[in-house]
Amino acid sequence: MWLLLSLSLITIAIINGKHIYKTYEKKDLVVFSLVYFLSTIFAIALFLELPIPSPLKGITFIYQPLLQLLSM
Amino acid sequence: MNNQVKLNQRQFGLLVMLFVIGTSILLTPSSATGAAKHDGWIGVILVLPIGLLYLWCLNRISSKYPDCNLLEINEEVFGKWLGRFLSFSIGFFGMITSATVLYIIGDFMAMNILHSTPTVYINMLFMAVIITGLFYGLETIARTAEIFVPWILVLLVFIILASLPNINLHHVRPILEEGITPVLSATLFELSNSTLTLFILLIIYPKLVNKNSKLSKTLFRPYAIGIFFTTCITFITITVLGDTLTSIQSVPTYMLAKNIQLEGMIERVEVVLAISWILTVFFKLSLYFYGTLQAFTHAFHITNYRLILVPMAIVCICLSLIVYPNVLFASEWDSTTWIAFSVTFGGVYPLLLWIVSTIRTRLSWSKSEETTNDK
Amino acid sequence: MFKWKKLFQKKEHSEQGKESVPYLYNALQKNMDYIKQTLGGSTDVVFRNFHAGEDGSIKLGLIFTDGLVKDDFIHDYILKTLMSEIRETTFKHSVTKHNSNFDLLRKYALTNAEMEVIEEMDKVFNHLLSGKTILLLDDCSKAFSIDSRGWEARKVEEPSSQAVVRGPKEGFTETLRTNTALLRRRIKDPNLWIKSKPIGTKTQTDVAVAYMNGIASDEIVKEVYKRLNKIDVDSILDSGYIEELIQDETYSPFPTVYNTERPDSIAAGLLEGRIAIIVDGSPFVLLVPALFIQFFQSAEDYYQRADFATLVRIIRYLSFFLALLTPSAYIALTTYHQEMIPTSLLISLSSQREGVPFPAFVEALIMELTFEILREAGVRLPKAVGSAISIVGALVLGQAAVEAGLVSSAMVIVVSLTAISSFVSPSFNFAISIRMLRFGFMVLAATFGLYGILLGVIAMVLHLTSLRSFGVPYMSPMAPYVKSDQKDVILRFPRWGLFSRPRLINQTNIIREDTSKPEPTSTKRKFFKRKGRKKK
Repeated sequence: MWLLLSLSLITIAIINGKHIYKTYEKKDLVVFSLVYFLSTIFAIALFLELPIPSPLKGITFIYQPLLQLLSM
Repeated sequence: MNNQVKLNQRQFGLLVMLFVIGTSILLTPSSATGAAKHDGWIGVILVLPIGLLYLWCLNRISSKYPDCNLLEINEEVFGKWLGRFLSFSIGFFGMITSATVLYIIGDFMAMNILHSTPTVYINMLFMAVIITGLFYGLETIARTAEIFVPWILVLLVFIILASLPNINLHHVRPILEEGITPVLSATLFELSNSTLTLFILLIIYPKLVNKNSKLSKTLFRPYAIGIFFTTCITFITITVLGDTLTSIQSVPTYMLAKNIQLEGMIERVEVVLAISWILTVFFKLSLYFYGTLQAFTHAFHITNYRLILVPMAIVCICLSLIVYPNVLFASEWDSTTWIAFSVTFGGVYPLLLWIVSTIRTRLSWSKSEETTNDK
Repeated sequence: MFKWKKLFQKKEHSEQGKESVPYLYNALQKNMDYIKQTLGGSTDVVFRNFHAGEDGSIKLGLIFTDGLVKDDFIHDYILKTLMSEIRETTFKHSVTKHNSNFDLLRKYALTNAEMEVIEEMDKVFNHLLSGKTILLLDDCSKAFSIDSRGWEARKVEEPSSQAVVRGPKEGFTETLRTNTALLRRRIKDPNLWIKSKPIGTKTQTDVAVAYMNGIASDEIVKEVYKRLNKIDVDSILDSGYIEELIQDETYSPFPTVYNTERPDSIAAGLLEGRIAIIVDGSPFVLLVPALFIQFFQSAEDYYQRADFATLVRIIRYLSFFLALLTPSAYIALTTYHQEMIPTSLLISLSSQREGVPFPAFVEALIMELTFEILREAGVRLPKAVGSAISIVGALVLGQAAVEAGLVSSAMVIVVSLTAISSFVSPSFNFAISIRMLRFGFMVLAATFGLYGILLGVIAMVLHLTSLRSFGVPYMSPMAPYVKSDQKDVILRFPRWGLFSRPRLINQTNIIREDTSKPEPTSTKRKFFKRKGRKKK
């Protein structure tokens, strides 16, 4: 499973990166690598079953006072 | 791979229609009856005038800047940094919405059709097709919509017609038993689901669509057709299944299709509904995701959205697995925070945009007047 | 990759650069020797030295390639004229008063219609090897190139690949001129322009571009020329080479160039504003731009009555989906969605599948592969053995496989259905793309069931709509939707309904005909009377 995930992530990165390298500028490749790196970290964290909270909970927390105000 | 794609009005209209139908035909019956019992369908109908008004307002805003998309208007109106921040938040909103839509697909498939397949694979396959589409570009997606729309409509009409024999009008009587308030909450719910998110289409609308458009043809008519289908499906679901059964089902329309039996010949047509639903959701998710990517592209000043397409898709898949930790949370989110969330972006934000831009134009107008007076 | 390419190119250029003589020498013998030496003494090239003139003072040399020329023609009209008839004639002074023998020959001795004077050495070789006769003079650095071409060629026969029940039965042949003549015979219009140019540094194959000036869009014509001019290869042996070098998308299972053996199809395409590319040596003529729907239109659709043609066309679209999706749907239904199969059918299916050791996917894969092998063998085998193979394939393999319990008989039905429906497509290369995609759909069905198939179809349509053929969207009358072109997509309107040319291919000269619906006077129905269309 580990192998499959990492292999597929690496293949996608290589294929996509090669395409970007050919068609776009170098700066774009840097942006792509950065975003891809972050997203990969996210995916791996999820795979390791780290406790990542749902972002919806954060949004709920922000809206909590407003909603309470409305319901009153 | 040119950036400057142009859709024609027909294509854009079809996309609007699919966007409205999108998730609604499967989920609205349940949520509407949950809020307003057997009057849920009235709530859905009421969306139509409000939605048309809303679209008219959106069009007013965008017609002020006919050569800009929403994100460029942002920078124009709010200045560079605030504009970029707003673009980023739109991207965030789009990402959350995409993830929830993806979650709904995975959940639906795993619950009803592919029982043994893990959700993550279902989501990955769907996202792979979305990536293909967005890699080809918006124009391709619009053309694909042109090919699929007749099929979707035929299948939906078939479902509606085939369900007619099962209708029992007792389920919707008496009309407006509990007054208008629950109906309005159903309206608000449907509004947040299908209409307020339409603002994301402003990223496409005036700039990438061929001009001299009649507003009714491009926006209003497709929207009305979309709402009409949603209403039909809701009404029929309520009349066939009854409001209690409808509200406790997560996907009552699927149940509705399961009930179809015509003379022992046509049975098990629920797959027909599933096909048309997946098709519509494909376009809805494509548009959401396109909006998301464009928003991030503008926020970070990247040359092309295709650069961040694949990594963002990975993020979206991951998010779709964790957005709803459990069903209870999902239903609570849908009925409370989601409405506020979508009103913030779909309602408050365009309003703000409108006010600020009006003030700005007034200011610049008076300024230019001053300068002309000076001369 | 890049380095290799460069290396090869360099090598070739240096090879070509060695001791080439640009122009003809003045001396006859020197020329003859040089030509002989360059050709390496090839035995099919004939060298003939002779003398002409009253006193035999004019030394001449004749070179031609045996087999590419009409022998009688050379005997009667070149050698006989120059060697004997000239001697018997006494020229008047005014006639013979010429500054050179060259002019004399050109004006009075060579009685041939097509003749050219050449000076360059490589032109000599080009003309000589394409079947013309070269006549060299002593003391003259010019040569005559006399058109004496004529060789054994296949006659105009019935096309083997796209047969029709009703309609013309002529097919293109391997000779370019015959093919252009077949087109000219159908379109006698000065606006049918045919221009040719040799392509291929070694083969020098004549490639002709034919289009209707004023109907074909100038942009597309320009694009075709641009792509043809870009071609730089050593050989063109079939129109397939050209197709691969000018098509829009290499990595696509769908063909974006149409090819046919039928002159009537090409003529119809030309009249719609398409552009034909005729390659010498290939009976398959290319037609661009090619759209998706074109592969579902057969020439016969337009020769049969409209209602029947419509029915046949709907059957073709249906069989397209059958050929594409039947095996994958079978896999999906039996593996993932048993609840969707009616109970009685499910029982008989599962009782059949009871003894089968493989999962449905493997079963389907085995049978589909077997069929593909059989098909390929049937195409390549000598004709006498071919029928035997088909019997072995059909009866022995199919029936025996079921009886041995390797596959279920339902699977055999599925495979035969796919096989038959994949041959319904009037165009062979389109059927190939269906066959390739089928395996992809089978994999999707085996992993994700109907959901996988549906997403596969979405991806396929996305790919199709992204394609373009010479700037024209591949799915064009459907996406982008063109209302006036729907008359010839799924339905085939009656002839008076096909009044305009396809909109996207052709922008200027739209109106095709002004015939109104035939209305016999005896049964005049005023309600349905059509207004005559105005010509734009």
